[in-house]
Amino acid sequence: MIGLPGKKSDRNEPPETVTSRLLPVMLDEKRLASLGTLNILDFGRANSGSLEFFNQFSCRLCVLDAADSLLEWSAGLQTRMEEPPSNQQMQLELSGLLSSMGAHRYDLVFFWDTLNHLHEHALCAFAGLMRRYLSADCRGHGFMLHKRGTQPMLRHMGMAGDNLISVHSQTPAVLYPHNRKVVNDALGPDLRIDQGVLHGDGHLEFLLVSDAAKAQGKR
Amino acid sequence: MIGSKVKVNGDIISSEDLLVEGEVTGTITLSENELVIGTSGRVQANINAKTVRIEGEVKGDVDGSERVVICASGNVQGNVSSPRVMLEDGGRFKGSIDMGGSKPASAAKPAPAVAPEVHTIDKAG
Repeated sequence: MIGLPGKKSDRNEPPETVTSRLLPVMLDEKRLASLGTLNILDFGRANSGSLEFFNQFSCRLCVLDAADSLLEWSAGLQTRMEEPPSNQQMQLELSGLLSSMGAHRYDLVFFWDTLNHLHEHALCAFAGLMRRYLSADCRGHGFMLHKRGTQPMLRHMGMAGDNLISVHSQTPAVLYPHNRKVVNDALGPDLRIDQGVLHGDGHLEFLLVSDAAKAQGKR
Repeated sequence: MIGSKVKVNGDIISSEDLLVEGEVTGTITLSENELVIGTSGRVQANINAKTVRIEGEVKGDVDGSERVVICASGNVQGNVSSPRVMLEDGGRFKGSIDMGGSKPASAAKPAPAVAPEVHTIDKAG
């Protein structure tokens, strides 16, 4: 089920902000300069703050606004678990939902809460699909529900600054919490959680780094 | 004007401004003029105009040689290409936008905590 009744933040109220220690790592100036024109993938909903922020870069921004469709798909998957679909089938279905990604490889991926919008059974399929769309030096950023008892919320977020995230709305919803090991195992060799910061609201902020980039950094 | 009860299937080429309140499937080309997709407008077409203002729904690629405005009631699925893209709060957009800024990330000025109601994307920076 998605979108349980609950308080939705008033559009006229200023959005809440979350300070990030990992975004500055992701947006390291030297690294980005070496990449040239960036391909940026944003799983979130388009908002003026994010567009303003991304407009600072020479980039192609792809906005997926994927939360509602992924939550609906995951709820449907839950009902199919007696005969769960194969990874290949799930990749096909996810590919249809995320078709706006086009034929590009992305340097920066803003997942926001996407991993918690996916049923655990679908994480491997999702990671497999994403591998086709990530550049060798890709970095990703997002959040995961971490503390037990944290109220699961469907949040719409965006960029508000180098280290600042705005939360434009949040609504109680059924989400799919996963522990870090499950996520790491599902992501496979191409992308791993490199750093994590636990926030007071019970969310773990994470930075994903491709193993290829990590190996280069150690040289 | 294409009224709310009008359905057009085909290519529209116009040398004057156009308001679409009905349904259009095909292409819309107004190279030197303004196109407005009204609140009841439903367009499944690639659009090419000088300025494009979207208050209704568009599925297709939007090319605005001067600017594209996605209004609060607007919903766009497609790729947007324009020197200036404006997104009003509440407007929905799914697709790609080419942006032309060149500032490095660490030099980026933090945005204010309160987002402006309307934001202009300017390729010229």
